[in-house]
Amino acid sequence: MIADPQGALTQSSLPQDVEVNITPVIDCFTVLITFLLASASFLSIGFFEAATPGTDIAPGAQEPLTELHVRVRDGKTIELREKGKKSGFFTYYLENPESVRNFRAELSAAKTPAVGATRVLLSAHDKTDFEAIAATMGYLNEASLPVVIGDFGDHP
Amino acid sequence: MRRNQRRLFQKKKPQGESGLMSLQITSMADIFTILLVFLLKGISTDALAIAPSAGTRLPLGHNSTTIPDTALQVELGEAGILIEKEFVAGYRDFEGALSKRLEVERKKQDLIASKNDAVKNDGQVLILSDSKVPFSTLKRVLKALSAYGYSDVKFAVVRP
Repeated sequence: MIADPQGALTQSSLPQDVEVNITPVIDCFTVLITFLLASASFLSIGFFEAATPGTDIAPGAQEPLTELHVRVRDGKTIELREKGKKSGFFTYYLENPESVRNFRAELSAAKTPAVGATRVLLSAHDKTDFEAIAATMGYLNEASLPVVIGDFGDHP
Repeated sequence: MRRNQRRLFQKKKPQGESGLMSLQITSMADIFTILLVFLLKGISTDALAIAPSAGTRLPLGHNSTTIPDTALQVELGEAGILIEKEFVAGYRDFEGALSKRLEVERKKQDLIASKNDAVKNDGQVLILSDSKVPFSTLKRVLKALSAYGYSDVKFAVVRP
């Protein structure tokens, strides 16, 4: 471009019709997108938090008023044992929506100050697969009860 | 033959116009830019590169929380146990090999934490377990992890 002595561009020096060639840009984008799509993982991964036995208790922490112990059996049955201020033993079935609803209601009730449960001990029968444990952990997570997972050895 | 084909695909040109056609790729460039930004954003937001091995099928998990900070990745896959994507042992008598590897990882983390104040050695572990892994295996792994101070456990699940 040519500038006149005052610094302004003269009209005659500007090109009339400029066309940017974007074909190489498209080529680059195609390669990049192919590479990114090939390496991308479309799974949305979430997490369940848990602690191992004997490690989650802070110094000076009080024992909960009611101890909850959830045990998953055969991948289909959940046993809930309550010990302390409230005692009881309940059996729920993972494949029965009504039963699951009752389990969730019991967990919500256990969290109230009247019952005073502050955590859940989670264990399972040796042959129970992780799928059933994860489903149970989902319900415990929904109730916002911290989970301690391990073998507590007080079941037949 | 070729001349006939060309005639078929050529746009009938109004009299007085040249036969040259230019393809409008500006809109395609726009789409590609948006796709590229979306994919690059997806990559940059993952704090941890979590991808289970080909044979590992994570279970579905309702009400799960979002991604944690950095943690030691332990995978209970189809063939055996992997730590940080490296095969450690099969499922038969794995305790010895697992303990040896966990000891190495713990020493490595202690060394990093002693040199870098920003790194915390808080015993976080991320377990990517196949949905078919039995609890008997899981509890043995948890026991070994706990022995080396990995007590803050996070189980990876697929969000529905």
